[in-house]
Amino acid sequence: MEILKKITETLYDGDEFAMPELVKEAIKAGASPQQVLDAMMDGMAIVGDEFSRDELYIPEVLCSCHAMMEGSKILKPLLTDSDAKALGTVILGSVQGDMHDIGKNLVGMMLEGRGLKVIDIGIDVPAEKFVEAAIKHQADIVACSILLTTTMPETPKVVKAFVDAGIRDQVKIMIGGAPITQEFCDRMGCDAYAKDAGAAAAMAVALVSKA
Amino acid sequence: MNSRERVMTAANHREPDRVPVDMVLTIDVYRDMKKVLNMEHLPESPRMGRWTEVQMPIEMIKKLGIDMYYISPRSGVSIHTKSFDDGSFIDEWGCYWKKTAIDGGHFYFELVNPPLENATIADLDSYDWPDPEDPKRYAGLKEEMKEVRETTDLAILAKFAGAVFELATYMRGHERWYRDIINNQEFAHALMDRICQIQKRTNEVIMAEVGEYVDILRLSGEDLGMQDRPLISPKTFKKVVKPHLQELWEHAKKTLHQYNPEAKIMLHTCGAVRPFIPDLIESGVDILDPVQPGAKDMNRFELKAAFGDAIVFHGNIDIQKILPFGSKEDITNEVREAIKALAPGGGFLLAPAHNVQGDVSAEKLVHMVNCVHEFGNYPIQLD
Repeated sequence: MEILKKITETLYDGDEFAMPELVKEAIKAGASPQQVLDAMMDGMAIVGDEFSRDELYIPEVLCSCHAMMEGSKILKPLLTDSDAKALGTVILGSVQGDMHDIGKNLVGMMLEGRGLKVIDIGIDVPAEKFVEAAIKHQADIVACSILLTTTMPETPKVVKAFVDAGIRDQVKIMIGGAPITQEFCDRMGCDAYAKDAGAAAAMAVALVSKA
Repeated sequence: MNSRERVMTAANHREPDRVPVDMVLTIDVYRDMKKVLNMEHLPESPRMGRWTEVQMPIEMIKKLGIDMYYISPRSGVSIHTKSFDDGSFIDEWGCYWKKTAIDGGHFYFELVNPPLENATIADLDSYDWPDPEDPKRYAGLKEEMKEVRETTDLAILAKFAGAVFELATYMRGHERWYRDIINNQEFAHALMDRICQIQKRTNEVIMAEVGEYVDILRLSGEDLGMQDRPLISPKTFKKVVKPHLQELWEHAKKTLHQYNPEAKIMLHTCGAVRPFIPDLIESGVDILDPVQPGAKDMNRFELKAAFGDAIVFHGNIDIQKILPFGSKEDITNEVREAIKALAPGGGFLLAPAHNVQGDVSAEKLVHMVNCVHEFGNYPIQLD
């Protein structure tokens, strides 16, 4: 369907203002809500890949994420429960002492764009809150955003909190943020590191697919 | 050669006697520095700024062996300004800086609740903007700078010229603002123009007061880079952002030169900013800070080869890995490499690539300065 192609393109172009009308138009033309969602997710997959290859910039990616959000608002009431089944659940937050949220929000929107359920527990999140949320929502993944060298020491505290709660083997812990490296991730005993939001989304999909 | 001559020679792309060195300390590392240098009599937190950076006393600058005196404007006052019991505050633009505890008993001020998050163009007219004529902003500056000039031979770096793009980010909130510059450009231009006109007038007022004492005017942070790429595309920068920055920078330089024709303009812009450097040069920026090593395409040898004739580099000592986590040997190597790459022919002022945070020990910084005194003498002879 031509209109679905247009939705994918509009998502890629990040036109948040045009998206709601297009979604309505597609439904009117007979597309199923799931087809429309898939069309948006196709656009988001391209955005994520290009961002990971350093071909896109944050403002453009944010616009795509917001186009996805605007389209999803129209779509949500139309999706059946089975349509809306998420690939997995992710607890997302910036670690204690870290008040930065743009990277975290971007990761959250990208994860949703790839079909995961995201529970965003905000910024400045103490280690035990990650554990509480993971238990409450039966999370598959806990994703921690760490932007500062001075908040990197929060990482082992998060890992330890999951060990202490006896659920370390039930969740995958992902970390990311400017000062984080694969080496740091390995040393801290986390499960995955992603260098940016696009890579985080791909990584999360891979993690839940493996489980 | 005294410190000021050293700095200005390097800033004019000539070789001084040795590479100039300076640094800005945040409160925790300043306190550590007092201990390490046996200067416990110095004040606890001399004029702490928004980034928890402190005004380093002249006595410490001298004992440490660095070349530059930094000075910030005082806070302006507006209908928005307010302090809270927990140490948080709202500045004259209406931006809320929340005091936030971080690991090890440190703290920082983080931006929350952007005041113009939901504003329209019409709302910009009714907003209470800061008054550029506010004399509180420069109260006491003249006396202080005159004293530094008359009693020391330090170069004076004034952090007076305000930001446009970054301030718009603070006032609008990051996410909203980044979408504005793509999908809401009319608003983006209106906001940047509004801020730019206030900053221009503020510069005129402050320069009339103290311009004669300014050796380097530091344009306030216009961070344009992330770790792995520029924050915005070069295309968007040129089309949407650059016209406003260029207007402010050219005006700041012209205004400054009325009072000190020899003075230089420094721009602080973090991260991977290589694609913007030709634009900065074209807009009259003399010195680029902080030349963040480790950010993408910021290889120091390549930058010197590509732009070394046209722009001076300031900073470049890694603060993400080497200074907080590296050994003394790592620091020695970092200083050697930076000098080897950037110092030949002048045009390099060495410093940590940002205000030094509490995760760096003062001892390492003393070592960094000692390395500059050891390897930074001209002619540079490093293999």
